[in-house]
Amino acid sequence: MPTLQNPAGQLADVVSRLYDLAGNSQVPPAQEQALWLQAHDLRGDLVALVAMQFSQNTTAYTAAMTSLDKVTAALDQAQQDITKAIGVVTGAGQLAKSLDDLLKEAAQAAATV
Amino acid sequence: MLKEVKRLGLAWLSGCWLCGCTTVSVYQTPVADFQKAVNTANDSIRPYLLGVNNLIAEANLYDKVGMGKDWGTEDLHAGIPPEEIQVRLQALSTIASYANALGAVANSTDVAQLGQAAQGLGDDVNGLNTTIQGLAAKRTARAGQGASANQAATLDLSGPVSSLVTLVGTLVIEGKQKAALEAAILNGDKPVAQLIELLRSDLRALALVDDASYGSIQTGMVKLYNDARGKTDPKSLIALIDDFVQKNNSIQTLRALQVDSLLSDMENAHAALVTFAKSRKGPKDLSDLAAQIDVFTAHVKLFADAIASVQSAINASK
Repeated sequence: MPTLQNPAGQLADVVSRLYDLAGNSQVPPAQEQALWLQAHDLRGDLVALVAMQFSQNTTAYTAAMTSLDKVTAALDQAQQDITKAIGVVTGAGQLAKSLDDLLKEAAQAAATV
Repeated sequence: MLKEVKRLGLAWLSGCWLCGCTTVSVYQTPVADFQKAVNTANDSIRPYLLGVNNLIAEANLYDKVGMGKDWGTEDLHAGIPPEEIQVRLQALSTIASYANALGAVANSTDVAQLGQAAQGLGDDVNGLNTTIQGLAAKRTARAGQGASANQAATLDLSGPVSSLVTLVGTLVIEGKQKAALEAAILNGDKPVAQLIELLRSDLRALALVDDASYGSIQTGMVKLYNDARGKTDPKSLIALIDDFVQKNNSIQTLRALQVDSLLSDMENAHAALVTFAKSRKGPKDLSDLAAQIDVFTAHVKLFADAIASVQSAINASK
């Protein structure tokens, strides 16, 4: 059965960039804390995701990949203009929800095997 | 380069003169080099695997600093279940045991020694097989602890291990060294290569976790050094900056290390050993094998040196 791309590689990059942004001295304190919290949560998801294999392009999988692309784009924008860090906070929150759904789906699939 | 080829050619001719071209002597040096490099590589990878959870915990503590929250015992809980780390360590031992068995076979002169080497390999393979069989139940038991805990870093080695179990169960060591060595190399080729490949992909995945942990630690350090800066007199700021830069360098070095590439080179060196076993074993075949094993050995040394430099910098700062 063909294996789909594991989101872990892109997620690891996002997490590293979230930490980097959280440590940027120009980011307002409220956003800094939000970014740090999101980086922490997503790092936890990463531990679960790394060893998984995805073979079905389910709704949860597609949503997670779309969220990853969106937050990556938001990080690119924030890199150009630090005032846009708030867009990263919003995008990372959506990503966390998508990954929760994906992990639940994967756990259910594993339980039925 | 020419000197190296001459040296190898001379070694090969000496082997022919001493024992005849069909003896096992041409294997001894490359097998010994491979065996040594595998053991050194594993010595570097073991602490890496054992350190993954420590790094996760350290990053959790830095995260709490960044989030302005208190530390809790939950921060110290293992991210990856110990039994999942254990199976990887046992797989590394099995690969080393395979290399050691090859070395013993290449150097041994009697059947008893050959049998002992095969026994060591058999013990490791059977031990790994037992662990893998026990993992299924432990993974099922973890299923009740939520999606993340259930899925964390699972690794399926059952395919190659099952083949190795069959191999060690049926391997009959013949009196002739060469025949025994070739049989071991050729019959162990595919499952051992699969085992190395599975571990390589797995280490690449675990490196992603490590990198994210280092991201947290690095940002946490910026925050803590900023706090320390506010309490440091101007004269002491230079020492603080030096300390900060040194710690940052250590993290950058560790982030740049690609532990999975050690296994790529191990895989290539192993494949070269098998190719050599199947070849006519002329000087060119031997120099090709030696070149591949040299690449592996050099990489292992670079990796070990980088780890040692970080360790020595850490010790010096204490």
